[in-house]
Amino acid sequence: MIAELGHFALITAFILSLAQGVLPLFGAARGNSAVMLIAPAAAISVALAVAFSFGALVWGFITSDFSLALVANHSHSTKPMIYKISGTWGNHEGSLLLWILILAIYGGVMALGGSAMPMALKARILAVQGLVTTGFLAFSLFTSNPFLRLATVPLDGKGLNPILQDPGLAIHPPMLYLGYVGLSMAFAFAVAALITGEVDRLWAKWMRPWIMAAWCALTCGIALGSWWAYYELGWGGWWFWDPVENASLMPWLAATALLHSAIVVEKRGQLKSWTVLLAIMAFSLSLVGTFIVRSGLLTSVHSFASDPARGVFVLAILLFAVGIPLALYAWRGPQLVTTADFTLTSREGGLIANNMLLVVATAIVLLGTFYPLGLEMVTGARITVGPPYFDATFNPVMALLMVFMAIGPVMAWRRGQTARLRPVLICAAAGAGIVALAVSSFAFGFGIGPLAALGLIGWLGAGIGADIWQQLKPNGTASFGARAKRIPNDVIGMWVAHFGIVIFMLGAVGDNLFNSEHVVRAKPGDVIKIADRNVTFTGVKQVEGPNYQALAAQLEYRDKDGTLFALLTPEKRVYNAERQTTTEAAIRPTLRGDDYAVLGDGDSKIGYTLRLYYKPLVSWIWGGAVIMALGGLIAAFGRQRAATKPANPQQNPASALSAPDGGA
Amino acid sequence: MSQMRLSFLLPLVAFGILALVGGMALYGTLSGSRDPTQLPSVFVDKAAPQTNLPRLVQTGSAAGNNISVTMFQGQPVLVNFFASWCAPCRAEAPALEMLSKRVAILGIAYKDRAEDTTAFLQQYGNPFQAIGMDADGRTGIEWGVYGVPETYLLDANGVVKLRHAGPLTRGVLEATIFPALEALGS
Amino acid sequence: MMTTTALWRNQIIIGLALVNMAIGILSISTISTPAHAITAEEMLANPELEERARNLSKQLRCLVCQNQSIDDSDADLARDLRREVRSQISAGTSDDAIIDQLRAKYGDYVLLNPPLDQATLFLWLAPLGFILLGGAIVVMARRQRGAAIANELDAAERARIEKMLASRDSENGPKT
Repeated sequence: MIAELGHFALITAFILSLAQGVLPLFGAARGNSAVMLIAPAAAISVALAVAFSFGALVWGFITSDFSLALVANHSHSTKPMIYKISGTWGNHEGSLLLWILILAIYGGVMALGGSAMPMALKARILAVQGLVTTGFLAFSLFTSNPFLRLATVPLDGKGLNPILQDPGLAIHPPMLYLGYVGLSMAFAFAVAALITGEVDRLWAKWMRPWIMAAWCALTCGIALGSWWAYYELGWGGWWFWDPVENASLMPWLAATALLHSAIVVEKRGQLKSWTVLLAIMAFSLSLVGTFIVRSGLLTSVHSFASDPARGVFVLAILLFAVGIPLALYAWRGPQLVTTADFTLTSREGGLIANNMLLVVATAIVLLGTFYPLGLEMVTGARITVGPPYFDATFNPVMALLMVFMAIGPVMAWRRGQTARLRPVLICAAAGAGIVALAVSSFAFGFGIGPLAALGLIGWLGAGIGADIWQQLKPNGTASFGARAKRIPNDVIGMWVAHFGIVIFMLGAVGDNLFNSEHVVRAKPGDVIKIADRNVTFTGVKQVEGPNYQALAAQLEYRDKDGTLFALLTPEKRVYNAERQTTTEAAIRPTLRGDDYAVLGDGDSKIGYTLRLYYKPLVSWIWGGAVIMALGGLIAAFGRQRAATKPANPQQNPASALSAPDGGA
Repeated sequence: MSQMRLSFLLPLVAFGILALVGGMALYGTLSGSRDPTQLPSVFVDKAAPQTNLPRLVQTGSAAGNNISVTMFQGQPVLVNFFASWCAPCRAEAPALEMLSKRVAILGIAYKDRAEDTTAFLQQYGNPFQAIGMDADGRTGIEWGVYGVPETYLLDANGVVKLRHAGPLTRGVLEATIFPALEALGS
Repeated sequence: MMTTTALWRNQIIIGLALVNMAIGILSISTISTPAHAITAEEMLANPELEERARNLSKQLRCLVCQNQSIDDSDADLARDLRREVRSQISAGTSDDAIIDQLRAKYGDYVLLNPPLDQATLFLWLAPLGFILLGGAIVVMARRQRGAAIANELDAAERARIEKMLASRDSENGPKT
């Protein structure tokens, strides 16, 4: 009964969102405020209806209602409660409903807030949001209905794929969708702006919190996915340039470009048409990612069962949701062009370089992901574009971006250098030089790639440090504390986010260069040396899990002095319901590095295959991502630079030039 | 200005190309003309790899000489990689039986043991004119086999005309194997 | 629509069967089960040769897997190819020759690093093209903007503002 109510709520939401998508557009065109006011009311109703519907589905999973086809196919009565709940979005239909829920919630929050915005702009934004929601509700209702009942109710469910029974993966999709879907708000702002043909600085100011929120969620979501692959797939890698990973990276790169270019619109009223394009691109790439994941056209280690027929529907959504705005952009975009009043050696110039490089990086990922498919369509030849391609093309672009990252924030708006530029440049160069010298004097025999990466870490780290020191160092009139207090949140956020990149790079380089690995066939009592540790394999134990049986290897880790410091128990699990085996790596994460152990096949006679790793600094990769997201949050909320007062450079040049703080 | 207008069309064009590629791939997948699991063989229109394998010694028969593809020089031949442990190989047994009336078939038992292969042939029939044992799978690698069953069609000169990976279903026979056989005049 | 749905279903079933049979195990579990890759027995005793084997393995795609190198995969075919790579290395074949041999048997699909040829010319040149295009657009846009800049402040004014700016900076700290 509850499922039927959920189904009914979903249909209601569909009708309401159609109203939300269509009526306010007419209202805004006619200036009819009564019709425009339908938008927020409808948006809130849609959010409530979808929330109810989603709740009904979760309830079906919690109560193990196997009369629902979805629950019967993806759940099992013996599963732990958390995985019953997360099982709701561990499948296509449920995850689609989660996607819609987040879309509707964003719309609802927008409807409740934004009271300072002109009514017509808000109505149009909500209308665009409503149209997107309508498309996805239709997708769910017509091809992927989660509320279908089974004629004969099975005694128990088929279970959830064991590798999805994992705390990281329980929160990974919601986080990722918060990011993907959050970009729909920026998209709605952009389309609304194209409809009116007007973009101003307030538009950017109102849009920015949405971009920041989406960007932070996306950053965390991608990091979670990478972290999951690291510990669950069991070979210690954390990024594979897999199509599904690329699908999440592309919107992230575009969103990163967008949040930087939105700063230029907000502070300076420049780069308007470009920002509109980026906003459309960021969400479009989210949709392209959805298309990749759900159509199964590109194979991936991450995606759940895919279906070309669903791909048709996503492609249709894609054609409408991306094609129309891009056509609108081709038509209206030129109107938004402003005459630039800055030189290339300015903050704007730095931000343009940032945007150009990020978009080039996005294009490279897009090309590498789709090229095999395109080539197959044109010539029938099958090729693989794997990690070596991206290492050779994507990494240099990112390296270039890091060069600009240290300089950009200390450039002045509009033109030329500031007093801050020179010391930062000197410090950054010194940092890069010292690191490169130190490394090459140790004669580790690194390749040019890692050496460049280390140099860049020094460059960016020293650059940020010098900038912070410049702004904080006590001088005659203001003490350290007083100066610190005056630094606005978005500058602090920028420092934190950029510093997160330094941390991330340290993790990536550390793991890449100093990773040690040892594969052995070991019998109980054997001692294995890995890095500076001695690992004793004392044997295997049978372990009984809530819904699985496991064989757990007992590994005693001792340091150089022979002190026992950890017991690792990598497992091989057999899940009862799904009759699948998985390997569970045992990981001891520390700031210095992770001990990582995997149990392979074998028995007590011939011994067991053990794969042991020591991965220095690897957790800094995800730590860096979290710090980046934190920086985004700091920048999004709290005290901002005063910039809403349009500074007229002709009358008051100093005011336009004198915002010395960061933001790039 | 017109130059600038053009640059505003660029994103739409790029998206159009992307959507076209996706749409074509989807259409191909749905209509059955595109099968991502089928990799084109590099040997198509090239001479088949030199192959020299011990003949399967069936119980009761004398140990024979080795087998090679050149044995069939002068007539078209199907080369079928199979194994007793492979489930789809059982499924395609009737198809091979039918084909054996039209064309010579060379069987290559891929990573299989002689007794298992023999048992398999007794149960599912033996459509092969000769069977070579590729015990360690080396010959499979030579041919670029990525999973059994795989079937190659060679013309009278030993040139590979076709490779099909996966079981020979009715649809596969009608869509690819029969037309290729007819083209060879068999 | 019904028929197409039925069609793709068949395809998926056949696809699954293909993957299964390629892996050589009959249960469906192998599709989603994480791989455990290389075992101790496969490894070469000489660490230098083994290092080469690992590096090579990382550049070769496991053809029946979903985007894994043969180094990462537990599939039978991956194991066979790893063995092939190691036996070739032991026989003294150079890395390039091993890559070429496998390419001659499995095609470019087996290479994770797409070789530069006619089919991949665009793939390899495009990144450079993107950078140049991006740079060109920025420069072009700037040229149009030249006029707007020219009639603004002269050098003296600029110097005065820089000075103002510097003094503001040092007196008040960052502006909020």
